Amino acid sequence: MAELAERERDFQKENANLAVIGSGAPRYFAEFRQATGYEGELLTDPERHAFALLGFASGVGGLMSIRSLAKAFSAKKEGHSQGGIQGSTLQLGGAVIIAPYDESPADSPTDSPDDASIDSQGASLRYYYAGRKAGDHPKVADLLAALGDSVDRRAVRGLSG
Amino acid sequence: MKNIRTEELGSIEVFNGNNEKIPLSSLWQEKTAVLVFVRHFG
Repeated sequence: MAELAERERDFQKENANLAVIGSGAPRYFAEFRQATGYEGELLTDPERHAFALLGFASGVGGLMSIRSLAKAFSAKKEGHSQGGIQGSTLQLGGAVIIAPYDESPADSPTDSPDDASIDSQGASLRYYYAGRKAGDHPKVADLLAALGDSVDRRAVRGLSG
Repeated sequence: MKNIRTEELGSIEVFNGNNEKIPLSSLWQEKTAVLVFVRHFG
């Protein structure tokens, strides 16, 4: 999370909207920002609808180990200070990159890469990562690389044939 | 690779810091959106 906070500007350079989505109440946002240094868009999905749809919340057990759950609880109990949120509990569960339109050429619909799924509105999934256990997280460099791919896809396709 | 319906994902409403509901799709209306999900905070 700290690395993500440090590299927020790199996402701006790629002309992307970066948003961090948690499931805690908005009143914890300030604490989250203090703990992580993250200044960008912060949202919460308290019912975890998006987590569930994306497969990031296959039950609490799938989300975090008992150990990290215990840590989270003790962090909560300690509570109110900046240290209330522990770095170890701020793990990235998963990430997606969604482009507003389909960048694939219209004349070759089968040319879309395996890692993309395109819906009827044209918005398309460019990247998907789901951590399987506590501690797994998408690499910031991978996210930025996927953004680069998204932008440069036509050029890359032209070069690689 | 998971087959995600971005239309369905976009219809999900989340809350911003002002406790306002916004649909996720608003994040990729104009620009490519990078959504990073953190396991928990708060």
